[in-house]
Amino acid sequence: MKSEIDFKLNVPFEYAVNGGVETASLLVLKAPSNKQRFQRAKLKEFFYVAFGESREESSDAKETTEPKDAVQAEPPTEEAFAEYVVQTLYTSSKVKMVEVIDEFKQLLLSEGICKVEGSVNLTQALYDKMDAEDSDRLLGAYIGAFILASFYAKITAR
Amino acid sequence: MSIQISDPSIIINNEAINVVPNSVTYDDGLGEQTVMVQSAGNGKTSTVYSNNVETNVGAVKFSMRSTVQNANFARALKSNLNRNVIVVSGITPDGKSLTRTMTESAYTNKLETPLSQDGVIAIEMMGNKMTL
Repeated sequence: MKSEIDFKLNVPFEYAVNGGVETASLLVLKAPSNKQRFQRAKLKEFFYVAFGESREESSDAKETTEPKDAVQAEPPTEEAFAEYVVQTLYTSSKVKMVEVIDEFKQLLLSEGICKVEGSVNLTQALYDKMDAEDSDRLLGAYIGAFILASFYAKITAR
Repeated sequence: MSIQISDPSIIINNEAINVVPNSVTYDDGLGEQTVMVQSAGNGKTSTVYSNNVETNVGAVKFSMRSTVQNANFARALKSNLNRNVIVVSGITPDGKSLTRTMTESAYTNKLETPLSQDGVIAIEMMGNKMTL
């Protein structure tokens, strides 16, 4: 289980550090601790609700009962899994994406969870500067790497 | 028709802060200039433009309500010497915006926290010339 991952931004943004302004293109993300247990639990719950719904739909359609991207001859890469997580959440009718984003934002803004270029805590002001696409990718990457780590391990072990 | 910016946002070291309404003022740090006359005799004069670079200092002034959070924030700002970055920005209802950034800024006036019903902490920051 990873304790830290690097996330590359497609659209860099400016941030203040040591009295100057620098351009950020990397975020260093830390795994949630028990302090963020409620946000972690919520995000996990959101995913499993959406995942369950996608399974129901695919069984109704008499297709495979496994997630499309998760069941492949080759196990999905971390990037593909992150994309699958975001897609599953967005396409769910039972999960409100606004709530997912809000919960994820709260987790991300917790002290020490996300450091811009590994040095400055991500703040609300910096979060607001982030590109929306990057924000979606970040959601998938974070949930995939830390919150659904065991789920991903199961898929890749098959 | 133009609309005045009266509700700016202040971000210091990546944190948005709450200020007392109508208390924000900034100085771009473009300084003072003088125009002096030189004489070539026989009534012929010309002017010389001079920029007093000593005055090329950016500044932002504002006040915060004396809450515990603000008092601690002001203290941290003071302790951070000249390693603060301030961004002042505003947007009008018709979508016109203004943004100024001051780097290497320091909290220069005395930190006084009045513990009274309407007490405010006055903050004056000085630093590099503002950038757009």
